[in-house]
Amino acid sequence: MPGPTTMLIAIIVVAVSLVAVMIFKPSITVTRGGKILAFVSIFILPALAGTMGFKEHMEESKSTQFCTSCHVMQDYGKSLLVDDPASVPAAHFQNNRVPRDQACYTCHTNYAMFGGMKSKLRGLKHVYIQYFGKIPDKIELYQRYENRECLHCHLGARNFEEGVIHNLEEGKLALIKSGQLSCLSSGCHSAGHNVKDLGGKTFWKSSPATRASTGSASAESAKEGK
Amino acid sequence: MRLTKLERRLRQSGVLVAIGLIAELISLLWNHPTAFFLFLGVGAVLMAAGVLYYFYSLVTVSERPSETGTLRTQDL
Repeated sequence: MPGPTTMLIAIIVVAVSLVAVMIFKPSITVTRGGKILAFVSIFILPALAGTMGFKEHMEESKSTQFCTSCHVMQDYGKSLLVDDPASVPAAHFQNNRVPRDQACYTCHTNYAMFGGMKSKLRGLKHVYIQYFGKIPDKIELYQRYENRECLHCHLGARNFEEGVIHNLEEGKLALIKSGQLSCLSSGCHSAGHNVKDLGGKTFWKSSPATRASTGSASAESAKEGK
Repeated sequence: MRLTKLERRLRQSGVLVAIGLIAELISLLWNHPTAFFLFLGVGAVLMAAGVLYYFYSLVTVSERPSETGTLRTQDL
């Protein structure tokens, strides 16, 4: 069965062909059939193609490869391959704690109402800045990284709920769950994307497809890992 | 061949829609943030403009059926 992209491309090709008939022979709209054809080719098919295209682009924009395709994000993609178990992003990516093909989106989407939509709107702003604005020297998050984003997956997990450190003091787990004690800024899981120190790091020797998805274009760009 | 006002407008809206569709097609074959921009900023805008112009033409251009019919008969 053809995939959604193939279907969409087929719809666009059919729509363009029918619109071309309208452009080169608009006189066919004199007949009833011609009027229906005009309505279908100028309204129904473009509306369908536009809706499907928007959905397709939204899905595509969740991919790791999409995020790391901009030059400014390539080091962040590379940091997912750092051979360091203490690095939170790298450990999540390399151990399949997040889907590798949607690694950025999984952790950097607010799991709140319209979180995904807000992320996409910010993405449009990023594209604008990429071409017409000034890219800041230091890339920072728009807001504090909430525990909610971690707990979306970890809440209820045995190693989180029964973790020794999480239960070391009474009430600590409740503080983490309520967001009063940050997973990251409390110092426990603070090793994020350390893009400044990539030069001296070793990298995980993953498959070429995995490297490509992180923006590490070739095996040569990553140092030999263990 | 002489075109009626409505046919001319149909042709113009068709051109807008066609360019928008081609822009969308190109954006689908390119996995890059700029492709999303191309889709929204060029494809969707031109398609929407074409569709709206088509509807606007339908409701604003009034042609007597007999006049159009006569024209077609002459064309044939």
